[in-house]
Amino acid sequence: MGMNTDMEAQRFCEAFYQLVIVSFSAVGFVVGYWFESFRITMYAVFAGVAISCALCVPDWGLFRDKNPPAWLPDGCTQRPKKSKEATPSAATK
Amino acid sequence: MHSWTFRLNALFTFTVTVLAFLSALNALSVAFYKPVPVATIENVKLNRLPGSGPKRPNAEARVMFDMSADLRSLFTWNTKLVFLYVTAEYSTELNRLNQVVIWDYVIENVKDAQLTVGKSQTLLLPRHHNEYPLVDQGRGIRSSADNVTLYLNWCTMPVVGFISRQREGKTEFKFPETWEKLAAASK
Repeated sequence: MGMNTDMEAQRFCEAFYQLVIVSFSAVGFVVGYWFESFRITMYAVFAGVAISCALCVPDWGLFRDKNPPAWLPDGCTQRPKKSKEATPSAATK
Repeated sequence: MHSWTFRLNALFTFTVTVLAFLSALNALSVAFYKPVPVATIENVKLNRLPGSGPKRPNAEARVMFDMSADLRSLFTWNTKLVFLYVTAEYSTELNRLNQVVIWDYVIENVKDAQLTVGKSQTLLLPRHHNEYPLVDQGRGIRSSADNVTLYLNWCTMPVVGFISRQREGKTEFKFPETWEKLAAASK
């Protein structure tokens, strides 16, 4: 998780490769059934995998920083420093 | 999904799931298909009895047969190959059932699934007598009272699913006790 994390693009990427592979295999199944060759179905699935691999796997610089994450402002998660004036109850005992 | 290795892993895992699903669908699509193969085997002829002398421990024979089969209906898109084989089956005192594979043939293509072997050949196969010798365990086959039966069997090997075995077509013949008897019979 770096500064370039893009949650929207990750969600889109997963949906995209699933859609590509499923639609290629659906078409391949019908065509393979028609020509009575399961080999055609396999080749269609592998074509879908190749396409989605090429589009989804590498870090394409083109899409970088489209949806940058909204980080909290600097320093806001730091614990406030303890000071003696802030705990008077301990001092009185 | 935040690094390319994670994406590659997720993509291939999904692909394997899809392949498994497609394979199951393929098997399901032919699950209720009933093939109608036609097969006959006939005209068995013993044409040689090697090992008829007393020194040979096992009785042995060369067998010729006519065979025709139309196995085209076995081929669907879920058929990888059909393994066709002929078995000789008989019972002796030693074993209640002897099964000897004497001939086999692998059909990988629907174009080759219609074949005739023997006198009226349309397809020239390597041999139309036994490919493997019909060797008995001992010499019981000579004195066996029952006939020897030749069966035509085949195994259908699918792309996905179970291997199924079927047999159809049988023919019987008598194994003579001596070579002299065979020679006399063939005159």
